[in-house]
Amino acid sequence: MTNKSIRTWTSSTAKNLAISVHSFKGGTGKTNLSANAALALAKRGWNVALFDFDFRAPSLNALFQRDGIKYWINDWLAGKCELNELLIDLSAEFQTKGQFQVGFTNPSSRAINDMVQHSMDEEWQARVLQLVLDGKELLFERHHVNFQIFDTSPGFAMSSINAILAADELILVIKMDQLDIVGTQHLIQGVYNQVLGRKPELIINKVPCSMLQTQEDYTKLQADIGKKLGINVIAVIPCFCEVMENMGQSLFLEKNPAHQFSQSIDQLASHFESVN
Amino acid sequence: MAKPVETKDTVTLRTFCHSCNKDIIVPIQKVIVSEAESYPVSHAHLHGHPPHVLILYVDSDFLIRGTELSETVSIERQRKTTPLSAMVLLRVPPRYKRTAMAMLKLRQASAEEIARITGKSKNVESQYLGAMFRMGYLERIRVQNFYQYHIPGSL
Repeated sequence: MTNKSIRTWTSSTAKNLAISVHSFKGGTGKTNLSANAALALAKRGWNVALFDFDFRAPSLNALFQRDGIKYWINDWLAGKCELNELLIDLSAEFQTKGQFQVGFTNPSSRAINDMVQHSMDEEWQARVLQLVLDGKELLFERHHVNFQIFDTSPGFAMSSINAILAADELILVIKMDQLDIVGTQHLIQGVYNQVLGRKPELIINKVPCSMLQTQEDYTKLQADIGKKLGINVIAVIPCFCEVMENMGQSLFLEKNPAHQFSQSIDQLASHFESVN
Repeated sequence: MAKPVETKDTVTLRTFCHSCNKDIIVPIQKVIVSEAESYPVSHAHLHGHPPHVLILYVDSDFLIRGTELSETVSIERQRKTTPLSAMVLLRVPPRYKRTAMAMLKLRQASAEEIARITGKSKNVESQYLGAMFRMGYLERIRVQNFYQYHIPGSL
């Protein structure tokens, strides 16, 4: 053996961050936040890949109103296509500076049923986890993707755990509902802390405007919920009628860039940019 | 020898395997070489059908300084094996989780290689990998004086 001076390998300066967006309950606004944050990052010039990992209730397809999709995430997991074949490039449509690619999950009842059946198959789950981990590396290293965002199923779904295991930044979304807060507490303690040994960050979404009259209300809510759940709250987003009226028919940020919700999304994008 | 191809975390080496009678690609995590205490680093690569091991001796510039072929390997496995999945990660004791995640990343590795990823000692990783092998989550082969572990079904 020869002792040689250790060569210092400089890490690539490129930003690489995989983000899982998860919640205890459904209806917290995960999909809306994930899709809009992905768009905000792509508009800033980052290459972004957004994945619909909610196999029980896939909804990105409806949000982006896509027809004629050749390959779904379901096909990739079943070995019928490569990862780059299922990603649809929407950069031109949304006029983003960076690449904006989306992977959709098949929303048909048959496809959902298939995924539910697979969810208890350990061999299938092992293969999916390996695919997700390999896919993450592939997109970062070969396809120069900077951000991968996984919009997951609520609760303890295996597909969500796979995305969480692959993610570098874990985001939990709650709304101001006592059931959701208590459930999220169990989710953090039971899964994130004890099992995964990792701390998520929190977004409090759809907060009634009556609770957020002043800046102090924001700060107090952020501190109170953060203390109660023992995690860092990165955003408090009010419930906006305009977002509700959009009815998930389009990306809100695209049509309303000056709206307060879009500004919250922009701050979220800045937060993701700052994560090491 | 072909020049290594570098990405953020890995360096992909290409070398000729006399058993396969073709060039093979061997990805190696940068940290395994860059944080080695001495060089060359020996890196065992289990591959092919029937499985065989090519040991690569890699210097600090990721250049292959020599290879050694072990054509007959005997894979040790439990009667019942379970592939590493999210379900397994949810039920194994917390102390094994980083080891399991490192194994998922590398697919095949020695305790020394896993230790460089997790930051724990080689002895600790050796115990954890041995325990996970006995639980049926990993298979292993003996290479020279160490065990090379791999995920069931990953070959």
